[in-house]
Amino acid sequence: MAKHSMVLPQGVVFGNESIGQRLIKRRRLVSGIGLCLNDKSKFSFSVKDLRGKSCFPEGLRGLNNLGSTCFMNCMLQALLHAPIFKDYFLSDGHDSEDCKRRTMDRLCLICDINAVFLAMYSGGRTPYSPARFLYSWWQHSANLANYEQQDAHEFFIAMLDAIHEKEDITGKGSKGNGGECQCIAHKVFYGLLRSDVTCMACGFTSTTYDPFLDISLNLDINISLVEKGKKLTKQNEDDNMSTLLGCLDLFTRPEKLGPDQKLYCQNCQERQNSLKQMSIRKLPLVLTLHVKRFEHSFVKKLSRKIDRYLQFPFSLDMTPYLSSSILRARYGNRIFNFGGDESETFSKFEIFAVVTHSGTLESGHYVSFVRLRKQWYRCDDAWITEVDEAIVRASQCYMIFYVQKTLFNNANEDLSHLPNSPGREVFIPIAGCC
Amino acid sequence: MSVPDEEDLTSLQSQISSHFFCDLLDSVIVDVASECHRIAKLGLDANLDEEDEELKLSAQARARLADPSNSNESNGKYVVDIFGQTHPTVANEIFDCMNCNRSIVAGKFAPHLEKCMGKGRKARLKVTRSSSGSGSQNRYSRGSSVNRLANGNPSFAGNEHSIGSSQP
Repeated sequence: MAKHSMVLPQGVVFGNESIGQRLIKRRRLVSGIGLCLNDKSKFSFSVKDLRGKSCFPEGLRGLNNLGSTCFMNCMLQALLHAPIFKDYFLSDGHDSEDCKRRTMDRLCLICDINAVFLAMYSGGRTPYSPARFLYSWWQHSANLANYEQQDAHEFFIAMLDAIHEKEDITGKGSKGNGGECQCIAHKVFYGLLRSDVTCMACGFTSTTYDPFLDISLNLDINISLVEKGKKLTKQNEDDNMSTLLGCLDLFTRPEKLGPDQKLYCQNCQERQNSLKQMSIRKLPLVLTLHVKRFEHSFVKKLSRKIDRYLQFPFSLDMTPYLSSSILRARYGNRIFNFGGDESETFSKFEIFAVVTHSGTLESGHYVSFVRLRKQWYRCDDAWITEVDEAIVRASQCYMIFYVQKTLFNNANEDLSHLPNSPGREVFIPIAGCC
Repeated sequence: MSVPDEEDLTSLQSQISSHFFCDLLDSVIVDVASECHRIAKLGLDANLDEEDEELKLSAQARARLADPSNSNESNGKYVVDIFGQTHPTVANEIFDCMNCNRSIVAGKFAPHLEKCMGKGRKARLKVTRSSSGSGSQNRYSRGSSVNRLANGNPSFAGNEHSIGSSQP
């Protein structure tokens, strides 16, 4: 792998140590001989003690705002700490050398994502400027004739799309419909949605499956109240508090398709009123939930943001939203599941990141929270601060990231997912380096 | 004794049928309710307690934040970050632009790059604003551009016709 030499102006060092010293310290930390792990109380050091920096979790580092790029910074933070996804990059999953040789194309978005990972996990703690990545991203989106996303959610989708496109192993242009794509985006983020459309005249149901990268949820507010312009009193608001589970209920509720959406029924041989119900056929390793806070009314020709608070749990059980559960309920099987079902192990999730938005549509700010080793950190562009979980619970969530509980437990206790190839040295790329 | 006339008959019929209906409805309700009660009472659904706990924690968190004496955590004024560093409002790191090789301040890099790469975002905005948001099969169509902003402030466009997201 190409070794980029560190081109730094003379006299610039990180803290009071050279890079070499910090790397040695980091390796010690990995092998367990290290200074301190979770139990900070054993060592008293002041905030200014720079040795303390190596006690913070790997990859924790601010991202400079390059000019209204907080949406990008937040999504990067979430991806940088996404289990399995980050492991792929940290363990050299994308070989940049090999890639450059093969493609002979100076443009590889994944190489640049790789570079961001390396920089963020290098041990440096001053904020990193993802300038090279931004440049690469804009070149990439220009190629796709997309314009730049200002929306964190759209950026997330586009990023994973791009990774899938580049890494598509199943063959030319396969969009995941044929054989299973094994790219890292698919492996980690993709799940399968089941959609049942039932003819209301004869009961005939047709089923389709669609892969999903994330689930966009409508807020479970009482729509009619809002439309009538009734102002909810404080008391009503608490009673009608929106919850994530409520949104998921809404998502999987049978929905009567409007009269203008009559679908053709094979059985009746004509268009009929239909009922549509969504459920989850297969859960991904990392479940991404997107809250649709943007409301657009074609009638009134206005757009607004819904600031309504949404309660979300840290531990999430997706069992009731699985296709198996939905179907059982539909056919009237109310026998309570007393557990012991194997599939339940894979439907329990733990939260690891939240992207929040504050402000208005016109001027707002994205901030992300990540949970590392049971401590929550606020990532506000360059500023990384520790926060109590209450801050996260009370925040206005926009995107929520959950990982399967089994993987979460592994990621938190086990440090062996860190790169451990002996000869490997981590260098900071030239451009955008701090 | 008078013979019940038509009206009385139909009203009697509807009385009886509504009586039956209410009976059936009651049975169903009691059936489901007693089952739920039993599950809750015996603690058979582990999730119930967890869910209640989560709701409680969220409520407590919000109450704490609403308390004015706790304002230092929630406002955006930072003193130092966890590494003991401070950062200016506009990132002041300087590096070379990959496109034109000029030295650029980090915090102004994006607007510079936009002009430098000739991406003409403002021009694009005008083009896409006219396209409608619905009607496109691609869920991630950029057609819903009404809230795109000229100066690149963060905003977000949702898609109004999707219930779930789907493949790219």
